[in-house]
Amino acid sequence: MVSSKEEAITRCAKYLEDMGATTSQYLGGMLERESIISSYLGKKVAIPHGTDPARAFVKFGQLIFMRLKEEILWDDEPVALVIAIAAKGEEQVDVLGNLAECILDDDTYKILMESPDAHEILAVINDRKGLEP
Amino acid sequence: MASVSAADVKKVVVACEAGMGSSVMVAKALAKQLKELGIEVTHSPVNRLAASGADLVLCHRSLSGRAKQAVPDLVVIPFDMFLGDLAIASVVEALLSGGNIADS
Repeated sequence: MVSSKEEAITRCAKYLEDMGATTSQYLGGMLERESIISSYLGKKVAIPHGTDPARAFVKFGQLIFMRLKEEILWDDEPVALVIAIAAKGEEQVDVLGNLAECILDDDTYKILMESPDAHEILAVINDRKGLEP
Repeated sequence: MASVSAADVKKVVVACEAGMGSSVMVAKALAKQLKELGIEVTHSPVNRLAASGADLVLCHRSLSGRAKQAVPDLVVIPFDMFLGDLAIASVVEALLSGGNIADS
């Protein structure tokens, strides 16, 4: 169980490190960034990531998609979905752009927040299903 | 205080601390809304704003002081929410309808 923002960030940082995407120092960058501005995005979504200098601790770009069984408070805002970001350069830009649209669109938002099917979630994130004009 | 005429805005830059997450998402959402005007929307870390080529800057309120310091002659519009902020909506409205945009 994840019960706080710090715990959620620590868990994500651990996943990133275990996958080989970052070094252990990236966690410090993520916490520092939160102390400057909260990474709460809106609609119960937070997107924790490191500071600009913390890019030095990223070996390759990676996103972590972590949906919580129970909402936690993220600087007084309820959060149910945590998308942690590690990026060296601009490799995350397209997928984050898709994600912004998926979160703003009610149909895809529901899939992100509720679907039990990881493949369906990935398809939405990668394809922006149904969102192209 | 700075001001800019909507017609002179060719490039909007969304600034954030790292330019890695939040500003990317705001910029992407905004780019779609401003596409029809031919306005380019990009993102940047706040400390690299001077080199961004921006005509207008949007950034989170907690960074607006740093942003203004980086680009004192540009209009810097602060916002509070990354998604669905009214300040951002009114900038879009002003760009679409023309006229002047100023910061305070």
